[in-house]
Parts: sequence; C-alpha cells; structure tokens
Amino acid sequence: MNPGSSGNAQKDKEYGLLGFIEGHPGNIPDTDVERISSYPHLVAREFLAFGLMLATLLVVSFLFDAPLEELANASKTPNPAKAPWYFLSLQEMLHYAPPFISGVFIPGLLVMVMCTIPYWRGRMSLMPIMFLLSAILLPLLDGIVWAGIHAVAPGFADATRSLGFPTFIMLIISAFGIGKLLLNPYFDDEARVEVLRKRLFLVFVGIVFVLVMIGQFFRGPEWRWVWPWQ
Amino acid sequence: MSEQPEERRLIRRLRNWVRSTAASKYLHSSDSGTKHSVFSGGFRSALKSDIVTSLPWRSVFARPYPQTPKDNSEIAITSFWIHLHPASIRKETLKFSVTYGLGGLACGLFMVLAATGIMEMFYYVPATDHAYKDMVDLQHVVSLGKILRNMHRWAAHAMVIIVALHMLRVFLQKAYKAPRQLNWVIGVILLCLTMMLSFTGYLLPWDQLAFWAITVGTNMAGSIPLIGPKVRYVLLGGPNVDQATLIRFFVLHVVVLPMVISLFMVFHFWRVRKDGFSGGK
Ligand code: HEM
Repeated sequence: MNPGSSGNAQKDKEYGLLGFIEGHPGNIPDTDVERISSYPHLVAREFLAFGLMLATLLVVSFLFDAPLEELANASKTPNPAKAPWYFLSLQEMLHYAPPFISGVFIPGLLVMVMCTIPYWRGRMSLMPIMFLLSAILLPLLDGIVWAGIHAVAPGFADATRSLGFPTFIMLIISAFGIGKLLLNPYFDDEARVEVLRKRLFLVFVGIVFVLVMIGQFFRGPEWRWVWPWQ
Repeated sequence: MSEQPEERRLIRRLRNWVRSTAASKYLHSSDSGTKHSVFSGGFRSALKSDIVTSLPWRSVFARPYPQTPKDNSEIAITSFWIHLHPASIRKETLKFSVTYGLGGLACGLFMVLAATGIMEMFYYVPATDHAYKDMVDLQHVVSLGKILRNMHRWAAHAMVIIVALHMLRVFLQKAYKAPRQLNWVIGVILLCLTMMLSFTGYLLPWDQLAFWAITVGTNMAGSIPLIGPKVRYVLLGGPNVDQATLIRFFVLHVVVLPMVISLFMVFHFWRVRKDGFSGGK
C-alpha cells in the first residue's frame, strides 16, 4: 500500500527527502489537509452515481428505440451513406481533402500530437509540433479555401485547382508563422507554452465538434449542404 | 391429522430458534405494560442484529458492519471493490465539480455494456443470413429484448461522449501534468479503444446503416498509399464487406477489444492511485 496515503506527518518525527516529493510513494501528506475515509464517503457516492446513470439509461431505453433499418444490401447504396457520428468529423474532412489525408494521415497525426500534450514544456523547440500541425492543417485548409472559391467562382476554381492556387495562398500565410518560429524557435517561458497548449487543444475540440454537427445535421444527398428543416 | 415425531421435533426446533432471536425476545418483552410493536425502532435494530450475526451473513460479509473510522479503513484494505480506493482521501476531492463523476461513469457504462452485451450474445448469431433476423427477433419476440438492445446502443453512444468529456475535464484542470503524463497517454489509448469498440459493434446488426457505415469507414483505410488495399483486405477479410467481415468485427467486438480495454482501464486506475489524484487543489 502507498504509505503516503494512510499516515500523516507528525511534528516530532524526522522525514527523509522523499517524503516531500509530490507524487512519490513515500510522500508524507500535509497534516493540515483534512482527510476522510473513502469508505463509505466516496464509495457511497459512486454507487449513487451508478444507480442514477442506470435509472436514466433505463428510462431512455423505454422511451427511445435504437435504429434498425432494412437488411444490408450491397447493391443499394443509401445517399448519403454516413459513418457513425463520432467519425463524421473525418467524413466531413473527406469532403475537402483526399481520403488518405482526411481519413488516415490527419487523425493519425492528431492522436500522436494528443499523446505529446503533457510533455510540452518551456524551453523546448516547438518546431516538431508546428511542423506536424501545419502538415495537418495545410491540406485541409487547402480544401476548404478551394471549396470557398468554388462556391463563388466555380470556373476559376476548377481552372486553378491544378495550379495549386489555394495551396499557394496557404503557404504564404503559414510562411509568416514559420518565419517567426525560425527567428525564435524556443518557447522559453512555461506560461507561453501553457497558453499555446490550451488554445490549440480547445480549437481542436471546437473544430471536431463543429464538423460532427455539420456532418450529422447539415449534410444530405451527395454530401450537399441541407438545412435541418429542409 | 397427527404429526409424526420427527416433524414435531423439527417444528419444535424451529420454534425454539425463532424464540431465541433478538427480534422475538424484543417482541415478547414489554416495558411498563405496553407491548412492543413490529414498527418500533427497537424491533428494527433487534432484527438487524439478528441478520448481521447470522451464519450466512457472516460468511459473505466476513467482518462486522463498520461502526468506527478504523473499521472503515480496514474495510478499504480487505474488501475487493473498496480496496481499489485509497483508505483515506482528501476531503475536498469529494466535491462533485472536481471530476463531475466522469471517469467513474465511463467505467460504469462499460460494466453496463459488458452485462447487456453478454445477454445480447445469447440471441445473436454473427452470420449474414442470421444477424439481421436475430435483431428483429430481439426487438419483437424476446421478452424485454428491445430494452436490452436499446440499453446497449444508448450506453455505447453515452460512453463515447462521457469519455470525451472526461478528457476535457482532465485537460481543463491540468491533471495531465507531472507525474500524470503517462496516464494521459493511456487515456488517449482508452479513447481510441472506446471508438473502435463502438465502430466494430456498429456492423453487427447487419442492416443498411451498419453495412454502409462500415463500407465508408474501411474505404478510408483503403486509401493509404501502397499498403491501403492490403490493410482494407485484412480488415474486411476479403474485397468487400461480407461474412468474413462480420465474423472479424464480431470477434474484435466481443473478445479482443473488451479484453484490451479492460487491461488498459485497470492500468489507468492503478496509475491514478500511484500518481495520486490531482483534484481539489
Ligand atoms: C474508457 C475510458 C476511461 C475511463 C473508464 C477512465 C476512468 C478514470 C477514472 C475513474 C479516473 C479517476 C476519477 C476521475 O477523474 O473521474 C480517471 C482519471 C484520469 N483520467 Fe481517465 N478514464 C478514461 C479515459 C481517459 C482519457 C480519454 C483520458 C485523457 C486523454 C484520461 C486521462 C485521465 C487522467 C490524466 C486522470 C488522472 C486525473 C487526476 O488525477 O485528476 N482518461 N480516469
């Protein structure tokens, strides 16, 4: 058992250095922190929460039926064929970028970047992360910019697609960011890393949320935009 | 009808046993003339002491009902479910807004999914000429089958949402910081496993929704340069979504992924204990 979790520091006793390392198994908890036994206080709450969850689930299950459509038919493609909702952000990106980019490359990189989140710290080069992020964002933004141009001037968009025109715009924009980083690749300040991490993560969560919502409620046949009330 | 001697002996023993209970003694005693009623608090506590001192009770709950903080701590060490918790916790971590109960709910939903999923397996055959019919039967023929299926489906959706919210709370409270970095990474793996479980389960009803969602999903894997078609072939067990795919997804959904996610969950909880819980500071 973790000795630190049961005993409390006593005034007239000497403690080794390890006792003061937060998170170390030998850590001696502060005496001025009020502790209570987890049984029954925590355990009772857990059972209560579980019971409430189960009750809610039962009520929902009596009120709403899980969908079951017709028997699977390989020769009858529904339009649109939608992935499960938690993959709709990927399917929505599929609309803007080639399948490999939107369905494999971007999600794979994102999972990797997500794993690194706790390890970002002050005085580290953000180059690798910036590089990964621009690898993710560029093709996607490219697709979105192109879709935007296409909505306004389809002919122009089609004609310039092969020239990589939107990519060019994106490169110019990102050149500013990359240039700035080249001049000062180190974030030597923990607070700045903190701000960056928070912004990037929340923007990421926001984008996924918006894409899932669009995919679920605003996409119809041929993945065209439809309003939910149409 | 005259009773046989053995029967009489049995009844006498039964009566003696009933009379020997604290509850019976309480009922047959009286203070200052008024008889004790079965609705009195005294009767209830007498009955309780009868129950907790009975042999069956003591063999299941090996130790007496806890009365003191010391009893509580001892239970925390000896009882299986409770020993997953530390014996004592900081008081402020009990506040709901510390965790919103999200990690625990994710675990609870997984338990509900395991229970309902096992019951669904009693009726479900993973064959293309059977699966859909089994689902229809489950909805319309099996008693409470519809509720069973609804519970499994809604709990699965809820689990994806709850796990995502749990990740958000861990992020916003900066609980991923040292020494908990590794547990964040385990968490990311748990999130991926949760979505994979949900995705593999999606195919099993073998309806149009299932078939085309999996077709769209696996086509993405097919687009990886060079190895894509091979990867897709391995996932599907053939060139198209077919019987081979159904059995692969079934085995992944009911055996492989639940086993893997259970192991990672145990690892996750163990790390929460070893790193110390961050909340409430
Ligand atoms: C199957 C999915 C998961 C289950 C069952 C689960 C369960 C739990 C539980 C019960 C706790 C302790 C109490 C609480 O915070 O509610 C916890 C803590 C934690 N979880 Fe999860 N979790 C899951 C997924 C995740 C994910 C996706 C992440 C992040 C990417 C994550 C990161 C963490 C971290 C860092 C802690 C420690 C928090 C602290 O000390 O304050 N977990 N988890």
